[in-house]
Amino acid sequence: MATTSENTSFSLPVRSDVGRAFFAAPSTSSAPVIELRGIQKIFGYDDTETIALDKIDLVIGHGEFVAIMGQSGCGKTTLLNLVGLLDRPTAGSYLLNGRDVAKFRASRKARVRNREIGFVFQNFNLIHKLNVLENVALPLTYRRGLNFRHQQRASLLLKTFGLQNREYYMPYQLSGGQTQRVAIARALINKPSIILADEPTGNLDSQNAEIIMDELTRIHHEGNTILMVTHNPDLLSYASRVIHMKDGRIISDVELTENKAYSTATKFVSRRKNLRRRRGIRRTTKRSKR
Amino acid sequence: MILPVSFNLALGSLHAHRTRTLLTTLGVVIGVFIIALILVLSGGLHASIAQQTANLDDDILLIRSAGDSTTGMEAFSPLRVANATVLTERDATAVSEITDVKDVAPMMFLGGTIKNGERAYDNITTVATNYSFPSVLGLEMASGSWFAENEANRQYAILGEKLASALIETNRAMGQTINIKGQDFTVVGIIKTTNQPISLAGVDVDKTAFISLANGLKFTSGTIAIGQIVVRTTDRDVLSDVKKDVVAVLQHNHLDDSEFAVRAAGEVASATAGWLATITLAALIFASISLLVGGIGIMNIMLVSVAERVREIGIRKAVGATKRQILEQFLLEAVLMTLGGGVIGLGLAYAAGYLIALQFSLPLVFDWWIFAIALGVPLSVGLIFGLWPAARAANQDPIVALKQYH
Repeated sequence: MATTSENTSFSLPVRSDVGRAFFAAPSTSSAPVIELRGIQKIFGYDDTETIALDKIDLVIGHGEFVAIMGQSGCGKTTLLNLVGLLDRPTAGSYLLNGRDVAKFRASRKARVRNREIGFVFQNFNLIHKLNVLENVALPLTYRRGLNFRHQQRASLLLKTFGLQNREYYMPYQLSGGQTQRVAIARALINKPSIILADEPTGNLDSQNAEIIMDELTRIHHEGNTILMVTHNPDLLSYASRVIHMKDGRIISDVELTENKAYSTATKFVSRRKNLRRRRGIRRTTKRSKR
Repeated sequence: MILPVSFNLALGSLHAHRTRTLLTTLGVVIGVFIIALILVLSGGLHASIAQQTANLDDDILLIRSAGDSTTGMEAFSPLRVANATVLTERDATAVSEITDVKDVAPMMFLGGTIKNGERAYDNITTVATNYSFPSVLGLEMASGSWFAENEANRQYAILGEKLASALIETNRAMGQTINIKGQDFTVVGIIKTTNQPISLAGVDVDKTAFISLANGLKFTSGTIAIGQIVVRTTDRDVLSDVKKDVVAVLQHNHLDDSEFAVRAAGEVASATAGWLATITLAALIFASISLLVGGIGIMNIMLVSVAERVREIGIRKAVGATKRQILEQFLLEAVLMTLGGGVIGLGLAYAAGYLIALQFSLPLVFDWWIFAIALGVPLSVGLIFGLWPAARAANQDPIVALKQYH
């Protein structure tokens, strides 16, 4: 079952065509999407007080692919939660697309999450009793509009991920890589201003991790802004900018000019082919063992 | 359109936990079933009384023993008919001598077994009365005739049509010998079906056997115990005058004037309706308790459901569901359960009501207010008992919720 889907996903020209129809071309304007000024997050009180984020200043422009590195407990997930409006800072200001979201009410924040932010989680977080199509359309269901229109849109998007023949599968019928691709499709369905990925490859083997990173690279190429948290140094080569954090502070912020994010399309394709070849070899050995 | 989405989600979630949903709903089904059945039956009884009052002759007085009570109205509760009594045949004779009294029928209520060969029925009411009974009550005979004045000492019995058909086949009943409480009686008449389970006779005539007072005395070792005297006056206009005379005569016979109660038939009908309303209300209160228990069951299961789905709630919130939308989804789930239970309960109540109504020849009522109560009550139960679990779901912190593992 898995073989067919992987094969269809390699018909790259078709996919990028649909993708272009779907997403706006990368904008060249440098208006910041995210603007954090003096962001502080403190958990607990008095003796148990922990400073998770210590006066963070961070500006992310449109079309950037930012990777945040750091050890566990350095505050990177807290930062992601703040940017994703799941949490509120103790101090500091946060402008999302130029608006101060600190003053937003809970319902307005929910609406912003729904329209401007896409989440990709380490453990995929699909809803188990909904099928692939319904999972992808989930953010749309919290908007006005007809259900079948939402699903139509989800179906179109799934095509760009080569998952159109998995639409009516349940999440447990998918492989890890497929599950995460569905989750990425769900994050994209709203055409968000920014995609927040928290260890998107953390639960995947290296091959599937590569597929997911290729997928993120593709959507980055299509003009999406991505903020990814990871502690896997291998993934840094995909990013356009790498931020290192330690003890709630940003200790380095490096713009990468020579990286996979800016690699040519030919390189992109050749990497996929390479991957396919490797997988083919593995499969034959598996069969011979039986 | 968020509501249809929540609707689909709620239905899907209920479907996913079919057994649990079914068991939980059962509590509401039972509650609504009882409430709706009470409403259907009391509605039927009410309609029956109304029908009785409508074709009631306005020229009838009822005399009953009041027993210990002094207010008198309790004497007319159908429950009291067979109680110990102070009325005697002498009272009946005295009343019959009052001017403008047309007919008087004293009634003595006897319980017991009626047998026809192998067929035996326990707890059949046998009424010992006189020859005037059919004319006082306005009964028609299906076949045969009532015993005449001079036939009081013969072992004659008259049967209600339903009793006759249960005991013997109706068309062969005439002339058959039946056994009432150990004595043989010949069936000389069958009363045409009245379909009035509640009547001024205080019994369901269709299911009663009638014998003469003289024969009735044999069962009570000569003690006269008249439960009720039915008086028909010559005209409705004289009713209140006759009533005064009756009271005077009875006061003369009985030293204590609180021993008996005299009422016009119309008053009795309204008294019965009042009694019915009280019983209905009491039954409804008990049924509401069962519905309350059902509601607590719903709340319990909804809380479990919320706890199980914390992560799902977290995901939904992360992708932009507002508190209200989460609340709506879970509330709808609870309401769908209770409302579904209400529909099933109502259906069952009508099925049971149909059978009971058939048995007791009551009309089956389809009033809008029965539907309104049978569906409105579970709807509010769902809203009330679903609110807290739904609020708990809506108030989940998405960060905490997303960290939960299954």
